[in-house]
Amino acid sequence: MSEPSDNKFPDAVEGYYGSFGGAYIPEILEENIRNLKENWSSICLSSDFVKEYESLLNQYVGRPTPMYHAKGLSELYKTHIFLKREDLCHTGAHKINNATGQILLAEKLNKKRIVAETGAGQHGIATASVCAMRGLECVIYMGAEDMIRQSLNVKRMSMMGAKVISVNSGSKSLKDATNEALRDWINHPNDTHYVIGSVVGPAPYPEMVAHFQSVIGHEILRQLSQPPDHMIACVGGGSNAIGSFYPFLNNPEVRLIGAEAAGKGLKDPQTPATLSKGQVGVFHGSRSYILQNQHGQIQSTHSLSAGLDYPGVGPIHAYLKEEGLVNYLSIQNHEALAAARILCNKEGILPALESAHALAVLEKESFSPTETIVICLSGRGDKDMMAYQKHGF
Amino acid sequence: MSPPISSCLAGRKKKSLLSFYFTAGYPKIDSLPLILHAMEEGGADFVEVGIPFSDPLADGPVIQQSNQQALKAGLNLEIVFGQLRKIPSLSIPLVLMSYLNPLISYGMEKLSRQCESLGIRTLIIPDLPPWIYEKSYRPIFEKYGISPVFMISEKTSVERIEKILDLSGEESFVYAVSSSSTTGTKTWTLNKKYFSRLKTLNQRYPVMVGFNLSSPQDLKKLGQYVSGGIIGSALIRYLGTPGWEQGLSSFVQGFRQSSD
Repeated sequence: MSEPSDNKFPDAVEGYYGSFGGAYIPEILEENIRNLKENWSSICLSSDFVKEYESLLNQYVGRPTPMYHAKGLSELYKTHIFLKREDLCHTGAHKINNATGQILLAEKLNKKRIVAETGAGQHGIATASVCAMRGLECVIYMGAEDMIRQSLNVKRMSMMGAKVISVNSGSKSLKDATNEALRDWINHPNDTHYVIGSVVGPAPYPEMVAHFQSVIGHEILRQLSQPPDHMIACVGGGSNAIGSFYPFLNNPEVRLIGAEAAGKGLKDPQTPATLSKGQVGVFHGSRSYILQNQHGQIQSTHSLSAGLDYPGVGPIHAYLKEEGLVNYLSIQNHEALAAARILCNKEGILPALESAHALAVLEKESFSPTETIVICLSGRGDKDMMAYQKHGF
Repeated sequence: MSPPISSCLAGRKKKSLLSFYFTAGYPKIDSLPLILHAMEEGGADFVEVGIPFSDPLADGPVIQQSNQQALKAGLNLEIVFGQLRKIPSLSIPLVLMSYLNPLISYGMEKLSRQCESLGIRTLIIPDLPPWIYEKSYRPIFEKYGISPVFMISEKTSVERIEKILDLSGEESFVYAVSSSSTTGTKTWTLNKKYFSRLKTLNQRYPVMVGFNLSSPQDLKKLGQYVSGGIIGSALIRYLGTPGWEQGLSSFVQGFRQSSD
């Protein structure tokens, strides 16, 4: 099936990565999406916006985040390993880079109310925090299952004044929370902006979120004297990965590795490994790989890490996979847990379960002693203590 | 086989049209023939058969739940076509409504062929925007004589409506969403400005209104502006009550009387 690559319809057709992406949305959202599409880049690239955004990243988020030379890990794997410490961002993960950008944008678009979905809770906390700081109403949708898994994060969001709504539809996790956030937007199209948390959703979201997260990669490039040989990041929807890969996408010298969660393994029917096991389809507004059954129904998934528990993936990753520009590996629960333990022991850093998937790549691939490897440590692991304890930590 | 919708739309100036949406496979996997029969008996002008989807974005809780229940029972597109094929002949036109992904998965060409063989010539795909339809699917639909139905809302621009009319076929109508909302979520109030626009549009092209219409009174109110109304969540709610099998045709008649 050919997909459009140019367009006669007045609504333009940017937002496609090859045949992936697009904006497959119900008509009621058309005006909001068009409004974003027409305005986001001019607003976000204006010097006033850039100044305000950079100042917040600097003073509120705590950027630039350190580039840490992990000597213990380097010794263990006999190579040079650097960790991009996104876990040291305010609220504990890279998510706040995007939340801050989108909320500033929402203000410029005169939106007074913010809705967001959250899986692990990191995007929800980031959004709730920035909303509190800017005095905006904030509603977070979270799967009922995830609210149990990440109960501490639910409390944190509430303390920031956000209303956390439990989602009981479908599989009660991230995909369903995303559905509900989109439905909320359909029901409140005038005063509300939907802060999507990853490089998924209808165009221009993937492009816009990638833009806000590209600060990670730009800093990496500045902090190292030369580009690394390998850049590794975990992929759920894929926002910290694309942010890390961004400045290296046109550099064939840098090997890009995306680590997606395989849950209990690729043979498990609930594996969330979208790029390994998915088929092309349309879900949450864009054309990408999705986990679906033979009738086109979206599968529910299960990963130990709520943040990677998503049956879709950003369309840009679908494109990068198809073009062979990024090597996507799948990491099982037990491999991520082992990698987390190693990081604790060798470096005294507790990673988020999501980031532990990226660290697990060190066991899977071999690296030469002269190479430089950067791993995006996308988040910290406090929120995952219950899961770690359950698995014998 | 069901008749084309154009015959029924042609009569729109004489009477207000009454349509219903229901989810195939709800409340039971094999309820469809019984529901269609009651629709004929009760006097519906045409019926939208909904294909359940795991993630129905534009739908409120009532239709979400009917989708989940139907999927749980094991319903899929092939089963729906099988059930429809067993019904010897229908006096009312059928419209198929589905989100895009189950259709892509089934195959658009195969789908169009099946629809053609069953006399279904009208398709509503709420997450398929007009320009993607134009580029990707129009040639297939036209080959089999299938017409798309596009939705408009109070925010849809004049240019966009013109484009939609341009892409619409012989068996299309314009589906006007009653207000900015998911299905069955808000209490509907008539926005005069929007409905005056719809009235003008309806003089050129049949406009049906859906989303959040729940009572015969709602239908009466919009009768002077558009060709008719579509009842969805209110019907699904009724199908969830005991004894619906016996009561359904009078339920339909209740709406019929207010439309006449």
